[in-house]
Amino acid sequence: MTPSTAKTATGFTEINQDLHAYVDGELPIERVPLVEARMLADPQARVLVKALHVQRAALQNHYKLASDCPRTRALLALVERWPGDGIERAPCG
Amino acid sequence: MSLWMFLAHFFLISITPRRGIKCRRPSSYIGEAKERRMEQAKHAIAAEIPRLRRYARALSGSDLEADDLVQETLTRALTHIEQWQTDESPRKWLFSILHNHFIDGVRRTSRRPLHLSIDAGDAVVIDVGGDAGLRHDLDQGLQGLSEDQRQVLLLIGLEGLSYAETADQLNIPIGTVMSRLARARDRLRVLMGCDISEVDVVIHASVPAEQVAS
Repeated sequence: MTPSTAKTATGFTEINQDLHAYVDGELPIERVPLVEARMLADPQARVLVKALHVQRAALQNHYKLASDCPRTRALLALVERWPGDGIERAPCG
Repeated sequence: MSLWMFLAHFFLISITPRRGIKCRRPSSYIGEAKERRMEQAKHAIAAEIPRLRRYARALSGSDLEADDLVQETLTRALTHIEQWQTDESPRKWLFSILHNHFIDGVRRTSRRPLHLSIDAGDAVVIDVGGDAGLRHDLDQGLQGLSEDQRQVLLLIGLEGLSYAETADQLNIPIGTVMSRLARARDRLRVLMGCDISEVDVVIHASVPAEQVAS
């Protein structure tokens, strides 16, 4: 993965895809110290990484897995019925 | 007893079906294997429903639309179950079906003229810039992204797919995944009114992601 930068439309910060890859756990371990060194040296890099973590956590908190709700049960019933008398549309729950 | 009688007796015994031993035709083994495979498929698909719903909700921005999307995905999956390779998780396959169905829906909608009720009138507001509550709403923020950006952001940020898996899922190069992701996150921050300079920065290089996020 090569470092790359681009200016955003709003121009408030530089996007560095390495920092995204770091937050997403994609960066090879040998590259992590380089990113960490950059974060320590560059306040904007630290701010960006923090913001990326916050956004990722917000997404996951907002859209929780609903494993038990009327609609999930209805969808489950759709699978349970198969391959019986054919596939019907499950009622709204 | 002559030799011929002995042989005839032996022959009769050997062709008489014995009680307690069922002769099974090969087709019954095939039937059982198929049944087992179907049962396995059923459980594997059912286990993915919550994840499919979550992704569909975030992708479509509507609970009702999301459930229709998941329902259609399941229907298609069950109808074409033979396309799934049982030695791997059905997640990727199901997500592909959901994606294709979603894209088909988007195309259909874009081809169709917008239907508005006569009473709708001035209620249709496109610009959300002035509404502070809306700006902070993650749902609305996501809907402000392009389809391409939203898909990449959700597959990586919400579903935890790797960049390579996302590229594979969407059939695009990994470089495109990275650029779309960066643009999507940046755009989402802007749409939600998150000023990056306001974020309280207390971060150390060695702190794991989970701790930073909490």
